[in-house]
Amino acid sequence: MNKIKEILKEKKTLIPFLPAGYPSINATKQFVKVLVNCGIKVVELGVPFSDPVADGPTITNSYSFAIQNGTKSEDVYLMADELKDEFGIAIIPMLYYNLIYNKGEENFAKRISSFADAVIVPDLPFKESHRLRPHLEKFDISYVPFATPNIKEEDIKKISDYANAFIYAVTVFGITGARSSYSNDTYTYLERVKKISSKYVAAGFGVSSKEQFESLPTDAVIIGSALVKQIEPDNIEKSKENIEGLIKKIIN
Amino acid sequence: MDKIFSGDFGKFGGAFVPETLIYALDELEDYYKKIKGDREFFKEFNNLLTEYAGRPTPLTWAPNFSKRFGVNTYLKREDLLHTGAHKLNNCLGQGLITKGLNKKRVIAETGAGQHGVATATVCAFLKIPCEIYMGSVDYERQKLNVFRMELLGAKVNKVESGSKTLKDAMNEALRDWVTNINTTHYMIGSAAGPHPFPTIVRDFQRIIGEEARLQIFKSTGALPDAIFACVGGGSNSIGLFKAFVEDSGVKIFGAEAAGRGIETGLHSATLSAGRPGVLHGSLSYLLQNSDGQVEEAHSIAPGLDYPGVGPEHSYMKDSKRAIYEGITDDEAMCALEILAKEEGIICALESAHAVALAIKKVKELEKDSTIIINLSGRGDKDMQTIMKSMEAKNEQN
Repeated sequence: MNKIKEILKEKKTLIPFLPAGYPSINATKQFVKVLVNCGIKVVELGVPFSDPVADGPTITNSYSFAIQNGTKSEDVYLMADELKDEFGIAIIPMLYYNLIYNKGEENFAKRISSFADAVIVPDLPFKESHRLRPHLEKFDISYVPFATPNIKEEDIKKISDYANAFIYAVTVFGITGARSSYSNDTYTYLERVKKISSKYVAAGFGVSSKEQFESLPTDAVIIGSALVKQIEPDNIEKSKENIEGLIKKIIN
Repeated sequence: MDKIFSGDFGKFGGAFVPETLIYALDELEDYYKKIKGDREFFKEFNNLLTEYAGRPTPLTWAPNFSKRFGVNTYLKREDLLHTGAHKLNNCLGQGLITKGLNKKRVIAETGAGQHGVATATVCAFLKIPCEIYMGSVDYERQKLNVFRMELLGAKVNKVESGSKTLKDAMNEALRDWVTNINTTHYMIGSAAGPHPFPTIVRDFQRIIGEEARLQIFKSTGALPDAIFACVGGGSNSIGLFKAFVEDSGVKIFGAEAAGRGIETGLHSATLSAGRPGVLHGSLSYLLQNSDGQVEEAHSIAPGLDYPGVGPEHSYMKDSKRAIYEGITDDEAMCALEILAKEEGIICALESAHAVALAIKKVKELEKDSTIIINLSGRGDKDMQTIMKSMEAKNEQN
């Protein structure tokens, strides 16, 4: 059985997102270790990209920082291999399609198969996903389709068929970035997705608090920008404390 | 279904955008298919092109330029269109679409400010609130156009991320669109972006080539031997080229911005020096490093300062129907001066790239060949840049 599914089956899961290489690959490794010590079992790793159109300023700036520091995709993959060996956690790389296209879909799938349980591609909508899905399947990596607040019922059914591990439900219209609360529409839509799909659902975008983690009616909740904000590029130790503080506050 | 309308130009095109946008793109495609055969829509569109925008634009015989270079040169005068560039053609079409889709707000990106001005113009006229995204570098070098947009009632948002030019303005516009998808139409100005934009923008710009084809027949009784246009994202060029694609005797040339020289790395010659990749929703040639990070583009002409290109140009390059070559900042400046002194026409820095490529290619053409150069815009907006560039040159000498 898929490792992510095993984890989601157990209990409501927090999936932290970290932009790899921000402020350095070594720091990211230390941050993941902190997460693991907090009891985190699934981590989403952002591979830095120059033009992340689905991301707000927090993640966009962290990517620029990482790229300027010389972080290459292969550095991220090597780090992910090490993290897999050391901690045995489920790893989900998140990256924009040009980084995949640039490597070639098949080569990409082959390369990440050593550590990736699933992959999230924010600018690959379902109707373009046929370009990547067969290659992921070949290497037993789950494709993660997106649900959005404007999704139609028939589309929920359609993407469910292709979701091996889970569906990524984008909570709001917009880009990544912490929001203090959601409108009722968000809850209604997520409940609709849960009801229609038999697959696990992870909610993401805007998550920053324990209250949101607990109230979102999904199997998993992804926390990104709010976690990235805990990172102080010139103070790794302080960043680690901040990360631990936020994660513990949410899941304990 | 019309094959081209699938949005795939050979292997190029597609819609690589966040899932949220797909519903708006589908809605746009459905609506566009509906109006494509709708006489009422085109009656209104053509009426606006004539009565409001000032079409048809002339095809001007350039006697002195022709004599100097030994080819019969005709200039397609998009610089004479209302607002001073070809951009208005597309904005009028998309403005009517915005109304038809019942969207209450328009956003757009702009580089040179020409598309921003055209968008602000149409939105003022059609009473739709609009916001324009513009990189802060472009904001500074095209202040006059910023003022024009604001005078027309648009809100201009300065973009400070990345290279602070057209690419980053487009990133921000896409982010705005994902956030305001239910109320807002994104009026993309170039024949680029996700499907169906490259097709829609091209169709609204086709009028350039269709008029030019009729006009050249009327003037010379024959097709031209070669046609020239500048290529940034590629809307004026695809608009001219499309009408001549089936005429195998017509050579098609696209002028890209080679900036300070392709070898310096400071250029925007996407088709000459890039390789296929995905940016802003479509698969097309792209300036990128070995890791797939998009590189910053450089050009003296803000409208060409873009590391991507419309997917149909990539298709025309690979199928060898068109030839794309780089023109440096200096070559463009030189061509701009030549045209000004020979014909009394000061064209935009973007269009000057097309003029420069024509001058370069003259020796490859047979004597007494006939050519058309698309003057996509006029040079008023560039006066400050041109003055600065000439001052710098004089100091060097």
